[in-house]
Amino acid sequence: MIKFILFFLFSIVVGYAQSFDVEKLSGNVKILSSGDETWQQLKPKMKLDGNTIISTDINSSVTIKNDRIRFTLKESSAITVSNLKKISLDELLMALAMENVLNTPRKKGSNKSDNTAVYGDKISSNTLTTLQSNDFGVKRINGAKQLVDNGLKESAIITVQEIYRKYPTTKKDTNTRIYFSDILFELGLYEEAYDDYADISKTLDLSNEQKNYINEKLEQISKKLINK
Amino acid sequence: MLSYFSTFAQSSFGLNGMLGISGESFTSMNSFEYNPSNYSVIKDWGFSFTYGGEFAEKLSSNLYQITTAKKFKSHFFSLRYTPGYQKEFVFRSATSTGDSTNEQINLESKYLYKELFGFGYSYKINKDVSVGFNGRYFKQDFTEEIITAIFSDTLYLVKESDVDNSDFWKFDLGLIWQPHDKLIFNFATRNLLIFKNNLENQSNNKFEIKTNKSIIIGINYNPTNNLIFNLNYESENSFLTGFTYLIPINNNKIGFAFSAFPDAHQKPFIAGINPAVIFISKYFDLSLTYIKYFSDRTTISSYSDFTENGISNILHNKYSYDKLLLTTNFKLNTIAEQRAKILDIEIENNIYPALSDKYMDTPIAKAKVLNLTNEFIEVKPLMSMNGISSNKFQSPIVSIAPNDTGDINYYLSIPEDYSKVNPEIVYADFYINTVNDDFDDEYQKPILVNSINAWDGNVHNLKYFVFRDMDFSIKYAKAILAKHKPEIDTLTDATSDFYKAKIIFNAFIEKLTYTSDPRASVEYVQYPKQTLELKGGDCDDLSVCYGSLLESIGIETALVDYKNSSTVKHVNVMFNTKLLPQQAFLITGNDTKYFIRKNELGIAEVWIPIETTSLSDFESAWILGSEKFQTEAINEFGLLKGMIEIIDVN
Repeated sequence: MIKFILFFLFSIVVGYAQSFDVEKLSGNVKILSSGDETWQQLKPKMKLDGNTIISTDINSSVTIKNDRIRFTLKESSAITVSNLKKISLDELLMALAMENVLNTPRKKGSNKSDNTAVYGDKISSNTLTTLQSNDFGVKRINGAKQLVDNGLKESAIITVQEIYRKYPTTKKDTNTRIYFSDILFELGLYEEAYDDYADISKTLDLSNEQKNYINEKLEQISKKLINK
Repeated sequence: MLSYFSTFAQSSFGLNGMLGISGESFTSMNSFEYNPSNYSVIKDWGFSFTYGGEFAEKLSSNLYQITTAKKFKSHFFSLRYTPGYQKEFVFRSATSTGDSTNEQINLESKYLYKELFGFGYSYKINKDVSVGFNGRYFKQDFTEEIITAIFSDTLYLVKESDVDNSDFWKFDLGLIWQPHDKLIFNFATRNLLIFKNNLENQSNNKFEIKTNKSIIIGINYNPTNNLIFNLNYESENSFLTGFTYLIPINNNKIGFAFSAFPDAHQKPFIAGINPAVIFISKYFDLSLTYIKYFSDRTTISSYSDFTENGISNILHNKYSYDKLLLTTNFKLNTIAEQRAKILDIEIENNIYPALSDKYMDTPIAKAKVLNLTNEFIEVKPLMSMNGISSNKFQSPIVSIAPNDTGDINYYLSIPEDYSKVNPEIVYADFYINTVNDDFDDEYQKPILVNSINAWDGNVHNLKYFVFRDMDFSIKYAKAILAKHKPEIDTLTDATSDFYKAKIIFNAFIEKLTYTSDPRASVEYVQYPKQTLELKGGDCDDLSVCYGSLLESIGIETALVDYKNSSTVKHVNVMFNTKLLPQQAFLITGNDTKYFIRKNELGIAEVWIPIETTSLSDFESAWILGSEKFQTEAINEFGLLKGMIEIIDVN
């Protein structure tokens, strides 16, 4: 029954995932429409659908709105329009399982070997990593933070999880990680926040100040969980 | 539990009334009289002997019968030698010489009836029905002393014997039907076919054994494991009814039986009774049977009555004396006794031949099997299915505790060359054995086998269509890639899978059009070869075909099941580019067109969805696929709500 209610709520949210109008535009703002490979200049009064990506340059910004949401994307940021939606905490909890649903549930021991045929010169993963600019991932992170600024914390968490998957180097930025762990803490998702802080502590190089902060958070959460 | 004891209507009444339509006794084998179906449950060899005495004026004892029987799978054969099956009538008369001496001469008329031997055969059609026949050889010798006058110088009166005889074969059919564990019906003929030599002297015909045709109908009902009731009716208006009660003691059974037999040829109404005590063990049976007739059995009978009515049964007629008979049956079985029994079988699903690999892992039927022994047994299930494979396919062995029931799964192997396009009902034969190749039990059930192109609608099972005709897909995909060798040679290893998938898509959709399934009661899916030969298909067919071509060159593929997309189910494909997330920019600058999936080693890889029904080009199919997936699976939480599912085909 609870699942049914949640799905019903989801449906309502989806119903409100409408297109946005450009209200205010400043500087160099580009959009990448659904499926496109070429960025276009954003122009006033354009309508933006859900799968459109908006990207701002330095000293640029754009304000878009629809019936329910008014959102300003500040400089050096990027966001997909479909990320601009209000979702509940329960829905967020479900959405946090997205990664598990996406991953391949293959049987152990069935690790397939690569195709033995080789065409052209092999380029190692490390080489390619250096080729890619991480700028867009950082812009995406900035956009996610602005979701928080606009009161869309739950949506920001879902968005940042997606960014971490598609731009894994962004997950190595300690301040960003702590920022979004704090959001989870603020939302009262203590178990999820605890896991996140613990992962930061385990996988990233932290300054003493950061270590102390995280230990303090972990201690707070432990107490809260014990008193639950 | 089946019937242990039964006696049939009097004129077809056997020697001692024992009937062994039983899993633990084979006494029926020695009694062709009441068992024309020659039905027996022995597993291998059987031997039977009956010795008894008749309470005539003088007690006479005799070896009545020796029977041997052998079973070969569903065939059962028996031979019976019956030295004691005979009855002789002697009538004495006196006549005078008629001469001056008027001397009295005593004359005798003897009528000897014998049944010498017989044979039987039966075939067990299935666990419920057995049919058979038997043949019996009879001999009749009639000797009449007469006075012959020899005229010479003197008149001599000479006593001579006028001998007349005939023999005949008698054949009968029978059927045993067991519609329920507790119920058995038997149907049989009596005197169905008679082949005989005529007597020389037709005046002796009146003394022949009467062979009126009749039928026997019987029912055996055992309301409990220990109690059996029986009622048998013979159409000459004789019948017999009674009961048997058995008490289990260790692994043996001891019991008693009682029956009464009204006989159309005898008086009073209840012509006699037949009490017996019985002992049944694993290796032999014993019975002590007393046959008591109620009418007076004097040693002197009326010649005129005999002449008028004759006899219809050598052993049991109104001139028969009371008898006491001891019968021993030896069950020399070199074949194991039944150790397990199938109680019921439930067919899980209709058969979809395309899902043959699935049936190697998922049972098509489940059986409830009872361990009949006091020890743990290992049950080996086997199955064959007419029209699919004549070979018996073995499923995993299951251990069952003593006297307990266990669930047994039956798996199916469908030959690779199975290609029937029309659905059909076939009979599946289920077997169990516990010791050797002889089956402990078997069961038959009908099952629907769908067309080779039928699909059960479960997208998980589309993968079985993907991997069929893989040889064809390999050749087809490699032929396409060979044509694009110069282009492929310039590719980096990282983007190789992506571009090969693109080349194959653009080549394979060139000649295809979207066509809906034929109207049918079940979903219809084409194999890759069919889709390419027919130059079209619907979303299932196109996704299966493209998935097969990609898998054939080692590109991992998943089917995306849109379970309720605008009330219409839809399937498309996503494949693994093998690119790391940080390499995604090598194929696209739009991060909504790909999705990250971690493999089982935790390594994130870039997957892209392809809408296979977009038959224009790869780019369009990718855009449509990614838009649909991004919108419905990600933005609308379709994956989380279970409305959309990613199904890895391998």
